[in-house]
Amino acid sequence: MKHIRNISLLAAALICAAPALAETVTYKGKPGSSVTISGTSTIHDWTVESKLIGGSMEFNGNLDKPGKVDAKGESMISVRSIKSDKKAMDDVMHAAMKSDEHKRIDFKLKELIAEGGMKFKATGDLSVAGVTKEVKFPVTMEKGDDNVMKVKGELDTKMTDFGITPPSPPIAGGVIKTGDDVKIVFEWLTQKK
Amino acid sequence: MNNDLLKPLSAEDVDRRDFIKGASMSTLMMLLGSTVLVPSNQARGQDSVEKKRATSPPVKIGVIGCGAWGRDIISTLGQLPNAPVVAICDIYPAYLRRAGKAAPDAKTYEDYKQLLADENVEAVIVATPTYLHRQITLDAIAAGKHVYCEAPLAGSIEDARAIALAAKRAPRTYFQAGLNYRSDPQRHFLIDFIRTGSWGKTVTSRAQYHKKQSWRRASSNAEQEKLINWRLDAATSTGLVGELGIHQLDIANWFRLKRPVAVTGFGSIIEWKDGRNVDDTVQAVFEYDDGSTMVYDGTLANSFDSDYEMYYGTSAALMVRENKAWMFKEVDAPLLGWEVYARKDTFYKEVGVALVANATKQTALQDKPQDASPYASTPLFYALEAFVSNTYNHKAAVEDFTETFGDDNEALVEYLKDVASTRLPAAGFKDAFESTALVIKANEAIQSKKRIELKPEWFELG
Repeated sequence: MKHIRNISLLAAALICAAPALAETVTYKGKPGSSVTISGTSTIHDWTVESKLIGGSMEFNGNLDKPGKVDAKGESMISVRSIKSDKKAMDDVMHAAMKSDEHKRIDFKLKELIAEGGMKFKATGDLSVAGVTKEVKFPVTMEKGDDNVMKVKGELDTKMTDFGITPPSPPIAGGVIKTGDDVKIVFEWLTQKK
Repeated sequence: MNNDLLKPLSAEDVDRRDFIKGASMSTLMMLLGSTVLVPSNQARGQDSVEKKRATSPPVKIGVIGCGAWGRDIISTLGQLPNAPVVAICDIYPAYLRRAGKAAPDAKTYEDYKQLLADENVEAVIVATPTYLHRQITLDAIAAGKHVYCEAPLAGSIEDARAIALAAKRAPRTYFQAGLNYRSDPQRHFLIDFIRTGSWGKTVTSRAQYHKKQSWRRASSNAEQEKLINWRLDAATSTGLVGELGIHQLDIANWFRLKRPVAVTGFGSIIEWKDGRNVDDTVQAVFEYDDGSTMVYDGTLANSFDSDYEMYYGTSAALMVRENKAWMFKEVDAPLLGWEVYARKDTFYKEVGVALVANATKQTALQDKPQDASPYASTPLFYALEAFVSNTYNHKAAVEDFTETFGDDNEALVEYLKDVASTRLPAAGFKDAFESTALVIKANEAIQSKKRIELKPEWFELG
């Protein structure tokens, strides 16, 4: 009797496992993405941008259905590639982000909750300048041609949350002081692998 | 508009002491009723622009060709904080030794192929005689090095095209040509002025290079003597117009965004009859499609008035000499054109003040006397600074892109176009090819004393 029970338990396990394995879809980051970081200062507002968002994400199941999504995701941005049209400001920014030691901004998805209509709430660990912090932000996804999935989102955060002192560059007598609040807006192009 | 600007300075305004002291050229220009055109930050006596330019991390450089110019390049690189010379190469041991003094930490090579095989070398400067550029540059690009190739690119249109195409087909590495005025902030500043047509309709223009010198270099070794005097042999030299004139002609055409449609040449050996077959005195007249002309006047037999370019327009004439420019306005020139450049008033007034007898006021207006660091302001310095910075950014972009997305050459090329738009200005392969082709034909016209119509296909890269 025991072995029949074991077999049926095993069969039940297999039946439960099978659908999960069949539906995982992986999307990989592709050129055409963009991420901007905007902030303020005592003199003028500023924006810096990178076009390089790498990494991948995988889903299991229906993205339209509200509720927790079985998802994994990791992405990275090369700090060196984040630029504005003012080289002096870029150098100040890279130094503040300790880009020599920490060459990347990394994000690891921990939870993705679907709200229906391809709108989601993402929670994950964001690592900047060697400091990791949990962040929550809204995300939308859009299917495109050629199995492309465009992931858009934005999040507000503070430099000091990552141990970054808002830079006060040594020009104009140190009059310029950068604001702590920054807004990150991204549009990540991914393609089904 | 400030009427003071048009009033010529009276004799009392100009102290004879100042005139002799060296404000003489400016003074002369003032008396002739001209205006000095200077970028405004220099006017306010602030630190020169190059001090403020942020620098990139270092790029390790190898210099191939350690003749006089190669050694100049090595010295200039020594002034940049991020351009370590890690290797030098020359077939002539004496030159290699001399160059080694300016770059004591550099590895020395007599065979350029060994330098190219050195993985420590990231970027290469090709400063050999013109006729040797092709093979070395092609090999350097094939070895995956970022390359700065001296101008003119080559002695034949075919070779120049080969170099330009190799650069075009190697998007993963950066290429720059030695047309250094293209990196010069002084020239960039003048572009707006010339291109907005404030000088009126083009009447004519000229470029002059006058310097009494033999151009012959000495060597105790007869075989070496022939090699180092490649400029004096028509088989290996592009003549005065090619080796020297290319810089001025490239800028003139860049300013006007026009290329000549024909060129007529004249040349003779007036002074240096030492067995050479390259003319020491030349004139080339270039014709443009709007009926205007440009004259190139080069000689090694007389030094008067040195080198400068003149652009003559119906509203004003523009003189560009070394790192200064002066505008000579016509009396009937429209006021509007002038007012666009009213910001120069400030500097003019300050120069005016300096000329009015009080030399100490002049030094008080500026942080340091203008000639204190002449070397730092040379076009070569700006060009090398651009080369190092642009090479680093190019290299970083390729690395970052590949790390993020893997190998996708087409998309990489697109991404690099973006990166290219933020470069420090410098001459690229296309501009260098076109200017090289132009001076090669001009040299032909000079040698044959003929008029040559410049066929568009000679300037096409394909």
